Amino acid sequence: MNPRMASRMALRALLGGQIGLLAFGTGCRKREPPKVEIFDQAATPAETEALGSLAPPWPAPERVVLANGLLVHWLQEADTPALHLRLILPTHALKPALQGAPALTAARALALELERMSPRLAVRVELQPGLDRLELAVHGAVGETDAVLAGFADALAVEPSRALAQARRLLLAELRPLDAEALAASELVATLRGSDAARERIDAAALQAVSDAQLLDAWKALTDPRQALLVVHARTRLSEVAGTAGVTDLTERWRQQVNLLGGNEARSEPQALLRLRPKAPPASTARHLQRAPIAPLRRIDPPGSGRPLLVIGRAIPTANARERSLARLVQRHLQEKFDVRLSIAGPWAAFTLHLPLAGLGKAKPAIDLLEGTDPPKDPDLERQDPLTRRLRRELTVIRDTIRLRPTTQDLFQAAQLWLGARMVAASVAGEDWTALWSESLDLAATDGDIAAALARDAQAMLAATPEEVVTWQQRWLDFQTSEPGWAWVLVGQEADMRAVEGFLKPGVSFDPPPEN
Amino acid sequence: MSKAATSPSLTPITPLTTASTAVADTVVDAVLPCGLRVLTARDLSLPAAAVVLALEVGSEDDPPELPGLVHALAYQLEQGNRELRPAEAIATAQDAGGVYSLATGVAQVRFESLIPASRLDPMLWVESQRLRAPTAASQRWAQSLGWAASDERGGSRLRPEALAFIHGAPGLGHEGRAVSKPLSALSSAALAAHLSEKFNYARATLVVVGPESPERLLERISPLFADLPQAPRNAPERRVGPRAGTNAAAPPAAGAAAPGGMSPGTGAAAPENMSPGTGVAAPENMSPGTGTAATAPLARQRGQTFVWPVPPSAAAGAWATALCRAINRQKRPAEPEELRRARLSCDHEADARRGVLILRPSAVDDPQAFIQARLDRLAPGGPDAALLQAQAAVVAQALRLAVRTPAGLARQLAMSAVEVPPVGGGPSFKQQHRVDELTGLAALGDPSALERVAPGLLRVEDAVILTFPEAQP
Repeated sequence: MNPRMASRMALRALLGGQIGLLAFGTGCRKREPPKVEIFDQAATPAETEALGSLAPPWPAPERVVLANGLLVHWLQEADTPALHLRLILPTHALKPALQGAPALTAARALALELERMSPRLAVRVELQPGLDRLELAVHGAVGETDAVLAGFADALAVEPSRALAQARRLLLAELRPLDAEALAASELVATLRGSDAARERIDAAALQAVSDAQLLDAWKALTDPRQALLVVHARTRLSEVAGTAGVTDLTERWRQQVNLLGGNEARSEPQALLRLRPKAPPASTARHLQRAPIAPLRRIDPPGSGRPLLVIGRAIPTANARERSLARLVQRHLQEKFDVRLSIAGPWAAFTLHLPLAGLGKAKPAIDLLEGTDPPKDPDLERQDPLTRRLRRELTVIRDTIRLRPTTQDLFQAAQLWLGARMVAASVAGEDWTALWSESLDLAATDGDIAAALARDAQAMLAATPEEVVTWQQRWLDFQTSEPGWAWVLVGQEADMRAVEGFLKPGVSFDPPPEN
Repeated sequence: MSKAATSPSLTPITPLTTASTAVADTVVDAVLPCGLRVLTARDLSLPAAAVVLALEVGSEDDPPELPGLVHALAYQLEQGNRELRPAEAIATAQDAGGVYSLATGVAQVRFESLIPASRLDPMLWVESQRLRAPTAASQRWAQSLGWAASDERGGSRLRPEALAFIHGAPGLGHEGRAVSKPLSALSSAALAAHLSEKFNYARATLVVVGPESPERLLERISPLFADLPQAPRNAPERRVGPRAGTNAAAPPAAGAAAPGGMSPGTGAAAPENMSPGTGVAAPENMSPGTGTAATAPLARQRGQTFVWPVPPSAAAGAWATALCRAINRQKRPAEPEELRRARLSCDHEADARRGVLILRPSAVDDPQAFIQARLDRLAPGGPDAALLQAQAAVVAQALRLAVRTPAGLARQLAMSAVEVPPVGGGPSFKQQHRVDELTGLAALGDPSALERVAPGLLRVEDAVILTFPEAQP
C-alpha cells in the first residue's frame, strides 16, 4: 500500500472514530428539561387590583434554575410582539479589586458581545448600572426568543480579551470627569456603607489603572451564571421553551469559568434576592448632626471650579413595604421644596439632601412692580449676610418643614404623581416588564413577594396618613431628634470653605424662633 | 383612492367581555350625535391610558390671507375657556405623572396625552371641554403667536408649492408655521369665528386606549358630549394627487365634504410662483390620463425628482415605507443593463394625510425608463418582489412594536383613514374594526394590497416629475 494512502486511511479511521464517539456521547447524554416552578407562594394581585393600584397586571411568573446555575424569572404576556431580556449581574460579592471599574468594563464588554446579534436579529442592547448590580437589557421581537437565548450563549462563551480591550477604549472615550455631585454622592454612600470611596467612583484614571488580568478576572466572576438572574418578558411560557435549542445552548455553553466566590461548590442559590443583595445591610454610622457623637464632616476638593455643595445623608431601613412606602412618600413630598433623593436597595435605602451653597438662603430681592426690574445689589447687605448665616437659615427652614404635618391631600397627590409617573415612564419606554421587575426586586422582602411588590408598595403609599409621616420623619429625618446614622460631605475649595467647615464641624445650629 | 383604503371592513357590534381574547384586537368606532368620532381600544399591558384628540384640520386649511392661522390656533386651544384655565390640559396630564404633546401638521392637529389609568376621567373631561368656545382674549392670542413663532419650521425636502401641486391641494402652497402680521392684527371676534369654524367636534376624532374594554371606554366618553347640539360629521376626506385619471376610483363619499380644489380633476394648477422668472406659469406637460407623468417645473430644481402622493391611510403609509426601504436596497440587475454609476434613492416623508414618496435617480440617461424598470422588478411576480415582501415584514414588525403601547396605538389609530360613514348611518352610528385593519398591519401582510391601498406607487406615469424649467425660446 502506498504509505501516503495508508496515512490518509489511518486519518479517516481516526476521524471516523472521533465522530462516532461524539455521536455516541451525544446520543447517550440524558437531557432533561429543567424543572419549571410557578411563582405563586404569595398570590399575585388580581388584575383589577393591580391596575387599580397603578401596578402592572402580571400573571404568576415562572422560575427555574438551569443546569449551569443560572436563575431565570420568566414573565409571560400573551400577544406581546416584543421580547425583553434583562441579565442582572450582582457586584456586591465580587472581590474588592474587581468592583468598580473592572466590573463595569466587563459588563460593557458583554454588551458589545451582545450587540453583535443586532444585524442578524434586530435587537437593542442597554447597559444600566445600579446599586450593587449591573444590568444588561436586550430588546427584540417575539419569534426570536430562541435565537436571542442562543446569542446570549455565544456572547458569554466567547473568549473576552478583545471585547474587554474595546470596552475599556470606549469607556475611556465616554467617561467624563466626575462633577461635584458625583464626588459627594460617592463619598457619602461609601461612608454609609463603610466601604472605600474609590470603589464607588469610576473615572478615567481608575480605568487605566486596571490590568488586563484584572479585567479578565472581573469578566469571569461577573458572568458566573450561578450568581446571575435572567429576567425574560416574552409571549411564550418558560415551560414551552424549556427544552428548546436556545435554552439548551444557554445552559451548556455558558458555564462558570472561575472559582473566585465563596460557596461556589454548593448548590446554586435559587432565591433571587439572596443572589442580588449583600448578606446584611450596612451598619449605622451611629452619628448625629447636632449632638454627640457628631458625624465627621468630610471635605472634598471640587473638580475644577465647581460650585460648592453640601450633601447630608443617612441610611434608612426599608425592610418592609410600609417603611419603603413611607420613605418614598416623604422623599417625594420634600422634593417639592428641596433637592432630596432616595435610593432603595432592598432592606436599606440611602436618603440624601443636596444643598448647593452658592446662592443659598438668599432672600428673593423685591421686584419693583412699576419698573419691573431688580433693585441694585447692596454690597453692605451681602457682607452682613455671610454664607454661614444663610446656611443656618436654610437648615432651619428644612428642619421646620420636616416637622410640619402634611395634609392628606398633599400626600395623596405626591403618591399619585410618583406611582403614575412610574407607569407612564414604563409605557413610554416600551412596556418592558423586566425593567419593572428589576424595580420590584428592590421592593420585595422575599422572592415570593416580587410579583406583588409594586402593587403592595403602591397600596401602602396611598394608605399612608399624615400622622404616620410625621412620626417617621421625626424618627429618621429630624436633625435634632432622629436616630443616629447621619453622614455629610462638603465639596469645595479649602480656602472658600474654611468658614463653612468651621461652622458645621461642631454640628448644625439653627436660627432662634422669631420673637413674638 | 380606493374605498378599501379608507373604509376597513365593518363587522356588527358583538357584546364584549373581559374574557374575550378578541377584545385586545378590537377597536370600537362610533360617531356621537355631536359629530365627534370616537375610537376606543384596550391595552392591558400596564395601567396607563392614552387620549388623543385629532382634528382633521391643518395648515392646508389656512385662508390665503392668513398663512399660519391653524398652527397658531392649535396653540390657542391650550389657553382654556370658561371651564378650563390656561394650560389646564397640560397640567391634568403632567400633574399626574403623565406626558402631553401637541402635534400640528399640514392636514391634522393632534392633542396627545399618556396618563396613569386612574386619571383617565379628568383627561377625558378636559378633551370634552377643549373645543367649547375657546378663549379669544387678545393677550392670550399674543402669547399663542409667540409660541407658534418659536416652533421649528417644517422639515420637508419639498418646497410648499411643489407639495401643493403633487397633492392637488393649493392650500399646501405656503409655509404653514409662519406667523405673519395679519395674524397679530386679528380681532377677538374674528379669532373666535376662525376657532369655531376650524376646530369643532364634528371634524374631530377622539381616540382612547386604556386597560378597560372598548365598549366600557365608550360608555365613559359618551355622556361627556351628550349636552352638545347634534351636528353632522364633517371631517374632510383629503383626496390625493393632481391626476384625475389615476385617482378617480374612489367616488366622493356621501357626507364627506371635499374642500374646493382638492379633489382630482378640479384643475389643481401649479401655483404661479412655482417657476418664478421663467415665464412658465403652469406645468404644460400635465395631461391627465394620457399615460405620461405630470411635470412640474421648479426654479432651483436640480435634476429630476419623481414624487408620488401617498393616500391618507395608515395602510398606504406603511406600504410606502416598505416600498422605499426595498428601493433603497435593490441591487443593480443583470437585465436590463443599467449604467454602472446609475443610482436611485428613495425618501418617504410620512404624514397622516399628505405623505409623499420621493425618488431621485442619478447618472441615468432616461430617468423615467430607469425608474419604471426598477419598479417593475418590485411588482408582484417580479424578480425583486421577495425583497419588497421582506421589507413589508420589517415594517410590519416595527409597526407591531409601535402599537404595542397605548400611546403608539392611539397615535396610529388617529392617523388611520378618515371614515366613510355608511349610507343611512344617521347622525350616530357604531361599528367595530380589527386593530390590524386600522393600523395597516393587515394590508402589509397581503402582497397584493399595495396596489389596492396605494394605487399608482408602482407606476412611474402616476408620479409628478419635479424638473428645472426649460428655457423659453
